[in-house]
Amino acid sequence: MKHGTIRGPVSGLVTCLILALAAASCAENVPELETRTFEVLHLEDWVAETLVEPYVYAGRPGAPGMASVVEGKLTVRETRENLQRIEETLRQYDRPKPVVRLSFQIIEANGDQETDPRIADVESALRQLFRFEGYRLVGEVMVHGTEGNQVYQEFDVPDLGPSAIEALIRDVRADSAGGSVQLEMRFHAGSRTVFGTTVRVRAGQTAVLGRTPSSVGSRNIILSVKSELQEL
Amino acid sequence: MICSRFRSLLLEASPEEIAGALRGWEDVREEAAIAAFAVHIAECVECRDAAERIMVARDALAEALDSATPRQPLDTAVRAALRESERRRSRSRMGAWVLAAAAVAAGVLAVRAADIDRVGGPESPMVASVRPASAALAPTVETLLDESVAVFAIDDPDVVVFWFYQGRGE
Repeated sequence: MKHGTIRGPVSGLVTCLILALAAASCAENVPELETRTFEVLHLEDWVAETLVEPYVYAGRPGAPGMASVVEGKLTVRETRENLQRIEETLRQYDRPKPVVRLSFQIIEANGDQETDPRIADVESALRQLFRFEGYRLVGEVMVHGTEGNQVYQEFDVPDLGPSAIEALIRDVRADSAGGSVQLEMRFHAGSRTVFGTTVRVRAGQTAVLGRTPSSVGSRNIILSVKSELQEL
Repeated sequence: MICSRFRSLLLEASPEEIAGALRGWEDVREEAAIAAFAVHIAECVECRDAAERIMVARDALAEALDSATPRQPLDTAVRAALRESERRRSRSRMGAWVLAAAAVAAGVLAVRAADIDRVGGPESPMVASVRPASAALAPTVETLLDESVAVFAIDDPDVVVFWFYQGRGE
């Protein structure tokens, strides 16, 4: 006869007790998950999903978090606390792209001696670098658009003839520092393309474009563009 | 001196320092200020090429601007900007003044950065960027026409000047 070994129905009972205790212990550590669907109004589906991904604990033992998105509906299964964080994140970032106001000025160097208040900022900047005889505003154009918009504005510039501004708002980023705009633009005077460039500048910053030699005869034409973001 | 460290210094060096280093690369017994450049240039063909291209691009820009701005050639503007940069550096080693001074220097030197970063051979447009006065985003520019571009950051952080020109050989 062997001693110290439990067999039969007693053995089964002990095993069940151990398993039950283990299960109860695990259940205490498994958080309660909820499922909620958020409406994504402005972000693309993949952007919204990527944005909330860090808040979804897919590897949680026993209760993995989940997220899926389709046609602007983001469904997340997570703890109440994480769902709250996701809601706050979407509230912060799921916003319409701002409207961009673009103010173009066509300026001629070696123009007037007196400062024109409409180009005072640009003139002050240019005077730090160069000493043309003076600067003269010869044309102004203001247009509005949003990311992806292409704008084309024809106008007449005295002595330059029919001119046109062609601009594509390639990218608009709103951030805590005020945002930035990437702009592809061309300035045509008659049959000539005076400027063709892509620039990214901070919102509110003025980009001043000049070139040598001049492509407009002997005239030194300078183009300035200020981009400003306007919330809807 | 490793190349990345040299390239950083190259962007901060004055034209005279680069020219001096290029002159002295066969004879590294130059003055101490340019000795490190000269030694590295003597050893590294790629960095010597970069320094030479910077000076060629700078000369081309200066030539282009000289014809357009008779009262103040680019060299004068460059020297004034560097003097101002040095004056501000000596006033304070830290803080916004130094950042602003760095922006002035970087703006004047941006054409060098463009030359170093040039990709795809001389037929490709240059791409240049410049460090801003604050931690905010740096302005960037890409030409759609076949030309080079210099970026000038000035005292006013709300204005940035892009100047397009035909480089030598373009």
